[in-house]
Amino acid sequence: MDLAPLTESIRKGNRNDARRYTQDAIAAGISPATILDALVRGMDDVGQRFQRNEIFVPEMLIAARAMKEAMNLLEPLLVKAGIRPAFTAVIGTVQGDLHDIGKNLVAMMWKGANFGVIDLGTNVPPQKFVDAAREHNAKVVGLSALLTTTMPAMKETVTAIRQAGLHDVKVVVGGAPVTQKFADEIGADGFAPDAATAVTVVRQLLA
Amino acid sequence: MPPAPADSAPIPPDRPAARRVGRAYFSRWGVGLCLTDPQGRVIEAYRARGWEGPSHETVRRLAIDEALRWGEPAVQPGPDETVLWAVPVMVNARVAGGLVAGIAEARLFRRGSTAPVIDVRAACTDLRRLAEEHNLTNAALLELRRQAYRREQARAEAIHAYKANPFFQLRSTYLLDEPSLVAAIRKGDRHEARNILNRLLVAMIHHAGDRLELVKSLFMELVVTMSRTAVEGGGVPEELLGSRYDAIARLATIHDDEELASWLNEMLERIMDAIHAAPRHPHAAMLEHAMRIISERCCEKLTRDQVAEEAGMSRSHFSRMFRQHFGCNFSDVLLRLRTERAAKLLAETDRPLKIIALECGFTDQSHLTRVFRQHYRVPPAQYRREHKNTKD
Repeated sequence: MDLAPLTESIRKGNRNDARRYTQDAIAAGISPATILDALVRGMDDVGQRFQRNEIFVPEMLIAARAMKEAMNLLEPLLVKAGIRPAFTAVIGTVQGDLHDIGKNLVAMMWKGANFGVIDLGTNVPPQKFVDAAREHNAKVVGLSALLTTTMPAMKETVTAIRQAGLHDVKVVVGGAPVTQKFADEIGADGFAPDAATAVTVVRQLLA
Repeated sequence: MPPAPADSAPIPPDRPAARRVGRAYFSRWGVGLCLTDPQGRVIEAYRARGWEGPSHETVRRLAIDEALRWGEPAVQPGPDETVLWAVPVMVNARVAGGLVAGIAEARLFRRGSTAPVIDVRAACTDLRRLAEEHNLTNAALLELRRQAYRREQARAEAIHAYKANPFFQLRSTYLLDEPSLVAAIRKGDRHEARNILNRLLVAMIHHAGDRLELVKSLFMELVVTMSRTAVEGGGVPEELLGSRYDAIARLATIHDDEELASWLNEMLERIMDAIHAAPRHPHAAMLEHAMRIISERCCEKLTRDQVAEEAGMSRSHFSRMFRQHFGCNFSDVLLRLRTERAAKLLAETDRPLKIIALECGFTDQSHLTRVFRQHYRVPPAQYRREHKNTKD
């Protein structure tokens, strides 16, 4: 069975088609992993086009929602087949910062790329990142900040993660005031200037 | 080249040059200076006393770091009710120390007055210029920092602005972004244009959340405002919004995110085509330049004539073009930007109101309070209570 229409439905953000083609693929006995690949391909394409400024934000949002619809059908089968996301990422906005817009976009794109995502919300203290990374055996921690005044909290969080001995955990930082230079200064492993790049950065770090 | 970390091999600063700056600065501003090492420890003081102790060192170091980071001295509240600012002393790209200026609040504000005795912001800039003139700092590097952070700052502030008061701020943020948006479209750089639009859209979507009708009305406002620009430049209204505005009528029938995304995409691309093709935008580049000057330097003493001159337009022509293009006059925009910056500082810092007034270019605290009330309908103190550490 050709899964190209399913990929296309994600690219276009058509959730009814995404649901229907997923149902058809499941009914045709296609393995959940293969269906998942088709979905991720669609979402990857959307992410890359967003990164290149070829599409507008609402188009990315509807694509993510179509992906979510398809995943609702697929997830029980993935669990049954013992297929789990390759790794888990913990994400949150650092202590003192209550903004969640950038963090939500990144979480959405990570889910779309089939990472397991633990969203800790906003105003998250360093220790909570450490505890969650440990509890979920996370490979990645994503830190977001929108205020220049909360950028020091990013540094504290990176330090806390390193001091807790979580040396394999890759820390990715992003947010309006954050730059590559700042990321380097505080010892983060990666810097993502936008939500779509956050996917690429994590893949590169874990390759 | 990035500056070396402050704690790498020490470099001796040029003390005679620092002394000359200290003398010149005191004679101009009546403010004492000290030359410090990169950690904020005093090497030599020029007409400055009583700045001892570890807490002073920490603040001085912070002031140096901040100046290095932003490329410009920034006012820092110091211990014992002092206010200070600094410029990094540099040898090539390495930090050799800092020149830190400071004044007690009691001296800065005469008893019972909220108006400062000197223009602190101008004093900050002057310290940098003096240090540059005496070759005590790396002027090129500081300029690069200023350029790099202006853009980052503008992005962060744009998003913040929406959150503090979305409808009011939406217009001024669009106003600020519009010249660059139009310039990008005119240049044929659709990627940059979409990038600017996406910043605006993210803020709108974030504000409206799941309320589709609100998202629709925000998108409609954007589309209508951009159409106006296209029509002013010679675009044909029917080609943009359809005869009898049927594009807007179609929006009213949309009840779904997917249709809305497609409507918006179609409208924005169509308007961008029209702006790109429009024959009349003779002043777009100059107005863009003017708006950038206002936005970057709104907290300084900035006059309409000064901006007109720097933007390369005659004064009267500038006023007319400005009003025609942006629908409001120069001082409206300037005051609005200053007030927004003050609102941001009120919500995000504990700085006293009189300091915020200075930092944002108001003549004194009462000036800020009066203008603030007009814009936000509440006094600054109440605004701070309501917005401090809150999400929206």
